[in-house]
Amino acid sequence: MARLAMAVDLERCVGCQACAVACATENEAPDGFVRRRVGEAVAGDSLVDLRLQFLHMQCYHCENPPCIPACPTGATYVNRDGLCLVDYNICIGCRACVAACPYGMRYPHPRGFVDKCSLCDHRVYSGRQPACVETCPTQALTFGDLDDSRSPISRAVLEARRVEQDRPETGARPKFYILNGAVGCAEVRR
Amino acid sequence: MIEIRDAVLNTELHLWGWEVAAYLFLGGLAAGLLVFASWAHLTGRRREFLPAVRAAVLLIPPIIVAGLFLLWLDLGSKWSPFWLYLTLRPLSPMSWGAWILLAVFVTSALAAAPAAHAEIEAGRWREAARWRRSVGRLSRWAGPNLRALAWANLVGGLVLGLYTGVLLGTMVARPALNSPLLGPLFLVSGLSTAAALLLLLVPGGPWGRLLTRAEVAAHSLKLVLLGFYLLGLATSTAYAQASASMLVRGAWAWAFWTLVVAAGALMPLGVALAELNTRRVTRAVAVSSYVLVLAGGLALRVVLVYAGQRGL
Repeated sequence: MARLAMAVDLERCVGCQACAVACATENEAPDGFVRRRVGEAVAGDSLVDLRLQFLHMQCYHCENPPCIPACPTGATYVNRDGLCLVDYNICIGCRACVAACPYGMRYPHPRGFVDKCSLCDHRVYSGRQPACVETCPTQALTFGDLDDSRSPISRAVLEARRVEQDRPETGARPKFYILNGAVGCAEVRR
Repeated sequence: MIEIRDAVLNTELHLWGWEVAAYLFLGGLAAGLLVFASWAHLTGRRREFLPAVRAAVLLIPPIIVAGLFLLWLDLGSKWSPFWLYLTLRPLSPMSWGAWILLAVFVTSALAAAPAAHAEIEAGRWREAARWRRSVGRLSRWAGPNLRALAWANLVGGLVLGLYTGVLLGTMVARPALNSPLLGPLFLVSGLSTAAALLLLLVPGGPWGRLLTRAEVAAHSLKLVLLGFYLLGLATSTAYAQASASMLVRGAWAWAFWTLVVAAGALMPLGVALAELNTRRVTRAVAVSSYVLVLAGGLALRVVLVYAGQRGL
């Protein structure tokens, strides 16, 4: 039993998109769809006040995920380590989970089921890191068990100057931590 | 000031299309017909309203089948909908909706069996003559149990009508949809469309005045619920307020005001009131009014399904 989660240190992120490319390659995302993407937001009212923030978007593997009760067949579920996963054999492609996700992190796969980030569970359970984390050239992405105080993610969250989660008001309690952002999450609107 | 420069962030997520909107419309229509037919049976007015009741009970099963077909058409995976019936997930409205549809289809088909058998026996359904024995068997079983079936269909109709709205209303991530009023709103709209369809198909008779009165009540209630629905959005979070303004003065405003409010409720309400008070409404005007009710009912679902896809 673990509480697997992910964090991004925005002071380290350079927006190179290597994580998005690694994710699409590793998980064979179909043309036009991605499980992970990095966007950017510019904040500030004047030239001297301009701030740039990269937005990392993927399934947040929430602790109270609204997609789970929405699924009529039980295809989407949370495993023993807190990963929110989709059983593609049971998914009927009704898209109720897509409608229920407050972060818009799921997409209908052309093959009929709904797809999203699995935190590369196939790699994690063979002792490796998710593809995006392994690829990141600046080590901005961190992955690990939140219940283990010695894990890289626990240390990163503890040592960060600023720790945020995307729109906590949704009540979904995302397990994706945004560290050291120049722009507050509340300021960034999609 | 925040400026999003990545186009991918602003793309609309495709959720549900016209198939789901049409399915919700047919579900509401079937619910309204079920309530009318069951109510007539349980209050002992079945004989008095026989042509309208017969039309209602014979229409319900094909309408449910057409709705299920549209639902199937919308699924991403066409070969696995059976999973819906291998699980029961009480917190998923779509799961219990699938079971309600199945249950209501069975009870409504059984309730329709005696009427269908009578049609076949009378030689009016020549194409269905080969089903005579099977329908006759169902009819013999259903005949003595019609009262129990009427109770089941009354409850099933009310639950089905509510479910079509609850399905959308429980989408917490879609502020335009996340309202507890959508259940009652869709039920009332379903009742009005069913009354309009019966008045269109089976004009005249003692049921006419009753259904016109039902139309007045349903349209009035629909307008009140729509008002409270918009008020709820306008007094909620910034996301909900943005959704409300999209309906009231945004991209969907013309469809909302002209098709849903004016054509679907205000104009038919005026015609129904005139019919009840002066009885000087021509058949052409009345027919136009019934068609507007049906179009308005469909427009309500289309507008909410499409406008509601805007996320948080």
